[in-house]
Amino acid sequence: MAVAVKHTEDLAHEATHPVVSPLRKPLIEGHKTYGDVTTDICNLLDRRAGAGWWIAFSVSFVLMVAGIIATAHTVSTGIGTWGLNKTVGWAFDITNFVFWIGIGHAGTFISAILFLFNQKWRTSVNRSAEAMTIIAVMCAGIFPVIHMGRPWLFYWILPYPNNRGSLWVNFRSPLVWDFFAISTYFTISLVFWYLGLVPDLATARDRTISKLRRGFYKVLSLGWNGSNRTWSRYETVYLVLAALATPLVLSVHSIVSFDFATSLIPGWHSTIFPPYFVAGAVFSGFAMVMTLMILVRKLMRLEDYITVQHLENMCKVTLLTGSIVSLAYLTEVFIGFYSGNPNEMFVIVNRVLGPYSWAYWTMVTCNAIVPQLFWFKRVRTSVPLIFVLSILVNVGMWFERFVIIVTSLHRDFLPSSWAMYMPTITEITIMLGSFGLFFTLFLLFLRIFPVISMNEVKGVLHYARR
Amino acid sequence: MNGEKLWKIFQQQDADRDSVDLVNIEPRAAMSRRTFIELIGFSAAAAALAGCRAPEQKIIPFITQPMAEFTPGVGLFYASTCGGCSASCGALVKVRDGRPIKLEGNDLHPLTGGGLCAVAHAMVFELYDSDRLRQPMRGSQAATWDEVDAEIKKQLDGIKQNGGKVRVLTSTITSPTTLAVIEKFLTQFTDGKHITYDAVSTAAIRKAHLKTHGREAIPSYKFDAAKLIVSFGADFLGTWIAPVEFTRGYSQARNLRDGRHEMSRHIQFESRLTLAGSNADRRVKVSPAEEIESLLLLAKLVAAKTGQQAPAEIASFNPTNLNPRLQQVVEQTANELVKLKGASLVVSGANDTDAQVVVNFINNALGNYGATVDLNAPSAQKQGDDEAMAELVREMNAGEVKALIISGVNPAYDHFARNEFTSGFAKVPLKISLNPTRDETSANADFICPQSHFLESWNDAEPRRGTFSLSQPTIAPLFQTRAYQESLLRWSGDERNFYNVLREHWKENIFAKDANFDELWDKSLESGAYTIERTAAAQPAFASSDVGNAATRLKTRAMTLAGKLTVALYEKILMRDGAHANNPWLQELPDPITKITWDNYASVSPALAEKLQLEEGSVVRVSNGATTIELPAHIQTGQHDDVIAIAVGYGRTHAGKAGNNIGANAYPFVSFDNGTFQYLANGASIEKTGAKIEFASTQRHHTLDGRPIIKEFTLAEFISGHAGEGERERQSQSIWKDHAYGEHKWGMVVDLNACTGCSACILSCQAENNVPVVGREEVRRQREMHWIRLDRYFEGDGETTKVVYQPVMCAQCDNASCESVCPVLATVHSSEGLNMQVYNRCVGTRYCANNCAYKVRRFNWFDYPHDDEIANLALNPDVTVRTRGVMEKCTFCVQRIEEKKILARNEGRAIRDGEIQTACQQSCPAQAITFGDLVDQESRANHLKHDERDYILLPELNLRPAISYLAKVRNTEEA
Amino acid sequence: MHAVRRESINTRYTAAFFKREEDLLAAAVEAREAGFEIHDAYTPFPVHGLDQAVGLRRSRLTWIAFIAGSIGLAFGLGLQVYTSVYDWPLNVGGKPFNSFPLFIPVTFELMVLFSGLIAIGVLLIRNRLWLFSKRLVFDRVTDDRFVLVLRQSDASFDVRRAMKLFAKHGAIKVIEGDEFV
Repeated sequence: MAVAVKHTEDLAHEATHPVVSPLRKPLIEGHKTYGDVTTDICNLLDRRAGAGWWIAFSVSFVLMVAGIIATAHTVSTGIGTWGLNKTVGWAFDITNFVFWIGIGHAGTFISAILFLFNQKWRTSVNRSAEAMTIIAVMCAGIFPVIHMGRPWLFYWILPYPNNRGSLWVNFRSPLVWDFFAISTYFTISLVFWYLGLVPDLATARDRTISKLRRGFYKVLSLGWNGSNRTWSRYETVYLVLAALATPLVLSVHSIVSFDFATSLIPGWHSTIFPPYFVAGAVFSGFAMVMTLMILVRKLMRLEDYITVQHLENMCKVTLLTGSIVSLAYLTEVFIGFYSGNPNEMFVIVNRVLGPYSWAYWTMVTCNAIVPQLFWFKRVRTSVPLIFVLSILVNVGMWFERFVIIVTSLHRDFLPSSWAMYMPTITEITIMLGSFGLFFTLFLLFLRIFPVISMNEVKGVLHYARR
Repeated sequence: MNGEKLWKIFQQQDADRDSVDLVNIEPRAAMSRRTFIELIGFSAAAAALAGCRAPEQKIIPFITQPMAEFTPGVGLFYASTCGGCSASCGALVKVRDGRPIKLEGNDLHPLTGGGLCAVAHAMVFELYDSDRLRQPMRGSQAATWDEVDAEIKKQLDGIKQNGGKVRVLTSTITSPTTLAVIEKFLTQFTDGKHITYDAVSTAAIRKAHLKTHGREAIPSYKFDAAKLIVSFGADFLGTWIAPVEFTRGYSQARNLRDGRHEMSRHIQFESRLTLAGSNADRRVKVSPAEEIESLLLLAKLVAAKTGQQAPAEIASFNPTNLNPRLQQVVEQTANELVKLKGASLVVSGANDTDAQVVVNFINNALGNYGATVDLNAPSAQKQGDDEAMAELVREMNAGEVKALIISGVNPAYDHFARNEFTSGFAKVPLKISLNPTRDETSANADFICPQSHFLESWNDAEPRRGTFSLSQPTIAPLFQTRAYQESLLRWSGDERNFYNVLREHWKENIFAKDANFDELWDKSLESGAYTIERTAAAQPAFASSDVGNAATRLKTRAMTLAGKLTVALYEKILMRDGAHANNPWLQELPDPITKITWDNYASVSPALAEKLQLEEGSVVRVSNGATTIELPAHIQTGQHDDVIAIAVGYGRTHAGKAGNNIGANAYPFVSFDNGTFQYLANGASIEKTGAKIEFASTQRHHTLDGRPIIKEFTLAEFISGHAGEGERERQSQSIWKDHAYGEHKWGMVVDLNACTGCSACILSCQAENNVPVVGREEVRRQREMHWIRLDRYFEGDGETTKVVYQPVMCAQCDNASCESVCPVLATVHSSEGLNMQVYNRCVGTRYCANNCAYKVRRFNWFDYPHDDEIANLALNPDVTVRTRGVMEKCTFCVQRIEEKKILARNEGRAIRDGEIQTACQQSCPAQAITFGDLVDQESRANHLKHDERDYILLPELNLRPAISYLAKVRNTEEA
Repeated sequence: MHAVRRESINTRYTAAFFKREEDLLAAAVEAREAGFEIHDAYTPFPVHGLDQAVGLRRSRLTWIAFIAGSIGLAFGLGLQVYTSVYDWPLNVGGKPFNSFPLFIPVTFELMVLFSGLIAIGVLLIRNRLWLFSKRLVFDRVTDDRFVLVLRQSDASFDVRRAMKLFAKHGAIKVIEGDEFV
């Protein structure tokens, strides 16, 4: 480009010192200027990873590899390597699937729904929350494939023209709905996340010192130059996507719940499942976001950006969704007896007092009782407490899925077929492996992409001003 | 290796007749010794199969052939006789491309009709057992027939000159021709004797009748003619003498279909829960001592009420161990019996001459001889002579026996004093075994001359005097084996083959002299049976002389048994005496009562378990001083506290791959007393060892918990029409428009009142549909593959345990919940109402199985082994062998449906009702299963669906199953 | 911006750098009032009110998303009805070939998918955002600088007036150049 630049001498400029309003608390602490934000976030990318990161990474990596080995064993030998039997056809596999899908709900919830509700505080967490979503959906996606008896034929679920005359798929099957819901959700979340990244990638591109990184960011930032025309269309699309993603989030877990709700197994066949599952998903998702954010602000020293106020807000969401979930538990029990259907009643009794009651009560403790602690501001503002409680919540949510799946299946209509289920080492390893994969990818994300949406944070930097 | 592929190879072999190219079929690169042996066997099999294995002699296909003439790829049926046990039931052998692949019942057989038992169905698998000997053996070295024949002849000639005892020891032989052959063989020697030995013997009945009627015979029992059956521990539906025949008669007498409103009544006194007892209208739980006293008291009361002259010992009998309740029960029983004089039947399962004598006395007093008990047509199905066996063991140990030839027996395993036997056996200079395998006894023989399998050889049978049936070889011997009759013929210097001997014997002794032999012979071969009409003769007179002493001895016996722990030995329906222990189909068939596979166990009552703090599976040490064995304990409701029930037939050491070291051998508990083997070992002790195992059980919950899964009525309720209540108004609604069905809509009705739980259907299905055996570990994980299962539920407390059976297979629901959830359309509905499973489309999500309310779908968790080429010969080429990772289930034997549809089309006619029979239906001895076309308004199935007892399982789900059940009815009120 | 390309031969641009978005806004507003032709503004984050300030029309992308969604909906429903009713109807669990209620989930998902992807696609094309795209980026504009660019449409463009205006609103730097992409 040929630019004949005529430099005029710098005009006098005064350092801007924001006037803090007495009403609003600033979302970002430490009186940051735009430049500080850029520096803080971009330096994370150029700086070498700390010991904490390396320890976390190696642990997760080892877990991931173990999981890959266990999966290979399953695929090569057969599903018989799992603890399933003629009566309990699903257990750990689908439990983990639903669990990860649930985790994957917070990201889009934060970036879409909170965006529509104009919740400014979302800006410091939405980037990593969305990354978490995408990674969680990846983890979830593994299970429906490997739980098949013949996983190498998984693509038969796709409705593609074929030479089988031509045999399509069964659009009445919730598993097909799952496939469409999850792939759509994954795609939309991915582009949503990437779209948000582009301006920040440009920022990184324009200031990183490493050549390699510059090249990388140059390509990914699509030649972004902050033009206002671009910004204006960009925001329109961002709004559209948010508007689309919101019903999408709700649809995905509703459809996942259809896997159970549309079946006839007592304990599965229930109309409250869609809202119940969505609430549960957001519940567990936010818990996971809190766990991660607490780790991130420690690992990356981002206390100024991810403040206790952010955590407190998320605690409130957790409290709300947790209460919805508890209500769902009560409703289940009530309807079980109100229905007067002996099978339904039996399932409830069997859950609460049966051989798997330990799982049920773990679930109740972690999901119904623990979040109630968030009524207290002292709890909501104590980082260590939040950390522990958020992990407990996810333990509980994992057990919720386990309870729903196993306790319903193992004793259904004909007592002659009743059976017990116990997981095998292979199954447990695969589950741990999925956590390994999750954290491996998330830690890589922290190193490669701007953890915090700089352009959005800059937008709310002076939230407390004017 | 895939069964289909194998089969194709044979097809091609049929075409060009040379030996199979092993490289083609043998996948293994390195050749271990084991594979080497398999190869030999296989090449033998293949060579044998080359060119449709029709034996040289003329054999005649079954009379009503499905096909006009032999077509490759189409099954042919040959009438034959089952050699599974000595009951010698009539059977049809389905031969497909020169391979027998299935046994079915022969409707034309006068005794068993279309019925067969579970063991019979497993026999095909035994034919292809790769553990069978493949050539004669000298000790442990392989030899040729010429060698062994020469040597054996030489030694036998020696004995002929110097004299000395020659003994032929066989299991019960119902074949008249064979008996003649043995006779002929023995006449060569100065002291030759044929001894019949049954591991599980009923000699007492024969001895008792010798005493009371002067005839050493087992009468024929007419369960179809009896209006009231009183059984003292006789499991006549499970294992006693001729279960298939008895089951058939029993269910005929209790059939309530087609508007019949009367059924026979069945009272069972027993200490352990038998299959017969589980079907009884009134089951009385008694200790062994109480059982004896009840019998005596019954004798006394019956005699009194019928005004019969009873010996003082009976007339004066006063029970000392019977509580008032039991005495009252016996009293009622006596009244009922007397009411039904001449139409009742009393039997006892005890192998105790005295008990049998008293039973005879009662039957005589009731005038049942000639009515329900017939001595003029005695049964030849159990001829074991316990005394003769004991004598033989003595002779051998005394070193008197110069030559011993055994066939079909394995005393080194199943004789109670097997050490005495083996020591004696060792003293015999010439020991020849004709057994097919190198079993416990044959292992110590000088020569093993393996006999061909009954499916490979000619034979005849006369299970009941005057009722004959023939066996035809449906395949030439797979290995270098020989019919044992031929071996004996050779050694008696007779070079004829057994086929000719058989024909001549029938010409001489069986057919009428003036008859046209060939015509009659062909007819008998076609139909599989030939009967001689008997002129009705009077029953032999009853002599009460021995009844008194018998009663006295029984009293003392009751005294000794009273209040003591007793080990009660019994045969399992599937394992019987243990001869077929190497048959994995039988090993994996769940016992109808306990639902446990791959094991035997010490059954104890819940109270006893409580006392010893036993849990299901905790290992116990059972001992009666002389013998001690360790077994896992099984807690059995309905069993008496004084009894520990243990099944014989387990703990084989030389059975083969599948059968070795499964369970423990309980035969040592048998004792020889008062001239017969006693299967009650009194004065037993039991203690906990602390170890615990998990049973490979197919059902873990045993009660209905008040769920309306099984409908049951008393006869009174049924007659007054309560059975139909509530069913009809349950007509389900649907928001969808129903799909229209084409020219057929297949449906099935299962009569729970007929089903006795014998489990034959399970193995019939397994053989027909290539259902894999998964092994003990997988059954423990509850992954058995049986397409039809027999649900068994207990009702009521220990005192009055009621048992109900319910066969459950895929119900082919119109609104199948499995179909709508399958993502890839691998299970969809056919225009004929079948719920089709498309194996090659299935990706194995298992969603269908989860969503199946009846839990009848089975998943291939692994690739189940199909690498035994010999065993693979038993596969049915009409049914795909499923691969790993796909779902499978009952298809109403769709291959049979299609076969008949094609046949009908070729003959340009409509399918006849009842022409299509599913595998489970075909060989049900109780005819509990009816299959048919529901579009055809006149069809039998349709007719039964309108029976007032008809109901469907889980109607509230609106699945519209094509299978419905007919409610069970118990004849509870006293006749 | 194609216009720019054509005119750029004889067109020059003036770019003013600001430190605070308020200054940029104010400058933009005043510049328009003063009759300057605003070419575009460049900011590190979307500055609210700037569209009106520089006089941008509201984007039509929402309509595109709507149409795309409708196409997705039609396609989804069509695919399911065609495959399960016309191409190969099968009796599945006694349900009718056209089990409409059961087709809703997939229809919905495809609607969302189409709408989202097409909207983004159009956005990228419209803004000429693609991998390896090369466009001028003002110094620190992705960091903490706000740039206002005026087009010197004709000779009447008075640089001095512009400079004064910028200075008044605290511009820290003004550059001038021609023909930039």
